[in-house]
Amino acid sequence: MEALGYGGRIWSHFDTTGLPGYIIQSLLILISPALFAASIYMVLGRIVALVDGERHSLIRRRWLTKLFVTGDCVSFLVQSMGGGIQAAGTLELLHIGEKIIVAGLFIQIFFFSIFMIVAFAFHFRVSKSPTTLSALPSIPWRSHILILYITSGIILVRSVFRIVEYLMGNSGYILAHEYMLYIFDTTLMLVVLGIFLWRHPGELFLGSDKGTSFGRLMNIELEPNGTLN
Amino acid sequence: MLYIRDDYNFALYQYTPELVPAIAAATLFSIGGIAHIVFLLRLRANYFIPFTVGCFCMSQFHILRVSDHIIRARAN
Repeated sequence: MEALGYGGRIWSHFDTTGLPGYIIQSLLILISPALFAASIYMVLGRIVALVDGERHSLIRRRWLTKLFVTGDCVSFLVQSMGGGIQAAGTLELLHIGEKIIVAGLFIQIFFFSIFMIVAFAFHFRVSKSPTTLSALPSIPWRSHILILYITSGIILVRSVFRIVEYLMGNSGYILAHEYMLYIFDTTLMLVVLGIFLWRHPGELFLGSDKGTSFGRLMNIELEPNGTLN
Repeated sequence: MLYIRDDYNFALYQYTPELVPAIAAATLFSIGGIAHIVFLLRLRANYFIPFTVGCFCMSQFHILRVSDHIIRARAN
């Protein structure tokens, strides 16, 4: 509902000048992957807590989510700053804004890469020396961490595409051809959306009391055969 | 607030956005976003709130392209 009302307001702006609409469009396309990333980052922290594997994580769980979500925010703020400068009205500022947006995208790629390394290291180390909880068949954390690899990989591809788009400039091939946007942005984001509808991470955390590993441990003690609930 | 020179026409793209893919994408992102709201509530997955908001941002982005198409088509 809110989105519709907002859309209406934007629409009324559009008739007078195209610029506010363009600024909002570019902000929306910048903010969406950052929001997707924030949830993906939080899921890893919860998986670490779920299998009680903090000692296998390169970064302590308390810092895991904070670090990545902060990086995500920085990346988004830098990108939107670049977008704002770009729309300020001169050709010179357009190019400065472009460079700032590319810097923001590199920050996003940097944090995504670190994230994938941390996730993979965790996966590898838990596989080598499993925790009590990670060995339970009722906790399919492996398939969910695999989904995190896939989805963050897809968003990484999208960020690289964005960088190439900006480096090619305003008259570049990508910006001049709409179908490129639909392949590398719309479709990729829809695939991520679909993957998380197919296997929602929430199903991992439902079986436990309040989603804590403590709840899981209590359940095991009650049912030694390893079945939860 | 924003100072725009007369000889400078800022545009994100130099074409008229296509109508059909924009409507299709806006619809899919809206449906997906609503489905994620359902999951959000059923699975009590608060950490997926940003993701769900992101779905509606993508939907809104494509809605803006629909309106941009209509405005440009009207202007021509």
